[in-house]
Amino acid sequence: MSLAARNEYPMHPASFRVLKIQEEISGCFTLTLQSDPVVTPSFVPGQFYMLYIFGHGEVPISASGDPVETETLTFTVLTVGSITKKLCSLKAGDTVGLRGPFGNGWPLELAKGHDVLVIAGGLGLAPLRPVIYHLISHASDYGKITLIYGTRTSDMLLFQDELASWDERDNMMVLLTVDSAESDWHGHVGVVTELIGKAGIDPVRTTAMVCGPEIMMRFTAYALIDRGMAASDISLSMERNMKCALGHCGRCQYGPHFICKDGPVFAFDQVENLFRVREV
Amino acid sequence: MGNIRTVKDFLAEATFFQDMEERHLELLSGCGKIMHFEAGDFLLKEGSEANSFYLILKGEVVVESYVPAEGPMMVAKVGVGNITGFSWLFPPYRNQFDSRALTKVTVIHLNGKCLRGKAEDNHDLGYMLMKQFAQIMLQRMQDNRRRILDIYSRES
Repeated sequence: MSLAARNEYPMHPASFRVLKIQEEISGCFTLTLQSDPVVTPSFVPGQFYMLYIFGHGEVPISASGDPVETETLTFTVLTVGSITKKLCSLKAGDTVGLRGPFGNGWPLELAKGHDVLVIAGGLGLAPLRPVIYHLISHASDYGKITLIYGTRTSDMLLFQDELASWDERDNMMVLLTVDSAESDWHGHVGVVTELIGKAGIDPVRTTAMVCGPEIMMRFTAYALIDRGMAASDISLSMERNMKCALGHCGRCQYGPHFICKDGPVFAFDQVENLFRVREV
Repeated sequence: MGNIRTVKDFLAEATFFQDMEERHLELLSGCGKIMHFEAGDFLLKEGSEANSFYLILKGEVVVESYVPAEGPMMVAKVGVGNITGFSWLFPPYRNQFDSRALTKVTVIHLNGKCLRGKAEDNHDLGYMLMKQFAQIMLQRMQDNRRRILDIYSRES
């Protein structure tokens, strides 16, 4: 039974136990959670959950684990506010509340038969990791997979062991870039858009999935369009503060959209006009 | 001997020079020579007189600056088909960064003094050269502006 089916009251958090918490980079932790009693979680890559620190509040966090994982859910959280700080200071055995999954997912069905270009900036790799797991486990459904990943410095790259193993796969290329580096750095130096040329994309048979800070996604989407891609083939994961996650409270309203229920993943042609509006 | 490639052949194949006419490539190649560097060799040294630029044919070059107590900090990597060296274009003709070979590198070395002279004599050539350089400088300036924005830091 899925978590969503079990919870017929979507505002009621289910109780989950922290199985493991692991620091990925400074201030960023991956939590592995298991419900109590154990149920099989089910999510689509790109969906998010509301993680609840009882007595403090909730934050939306995208699942960052393998979608076929049974019994556990994985979230990668950066400490940016009081609730995320509390989440990152949890210990194995502690309890958190969890609602979800919410929102849509990445367009994995539409991408079938296409090359897939995954572009991540900073923590944006976390919501894209389930996509990469899916693409790898369904490799015959897709063409070439390219991951372009950029961070400020090399010590801020997430999931470094996995990056290396993904790059060794026949059907996958991993291109890394940082804003500045020391002399032992083997990747690129510069922003992610500089590496799009190296991906060798065929604009008519490529689907791009982009996640990172909004400004990075904006520059990236335009760089992809400059290379001939259609805006409808470029998907972005948007982020706003949320409250209900059900499309009722309006906290995450983004122009005519509610990010919690219409997103968080949008095709660029759905949101391009909003990217030009300040403070939307 | 028909397969020996000249400086002009390499220039003609490079995207950077693709809009150049044959006669301009001829003039440019007169200022060029093929050079090889070992990993670790410097192509350009910060503070030195800037009288050359390089088209990378093979290997990879890093543009860097030495930061006391931290060591050399990379600001860019330049790979095959790209250019390193812009300071030869304008006074005071002084290199602003180090360019160092990361691997064995083969390049076309273009003598900036020679090119400046030819560009003064032939403004068509000068215009085409400036146009090509302006395009790549614009691209790099925009990339650097994005870096200044620190685009990965905005996490919520």
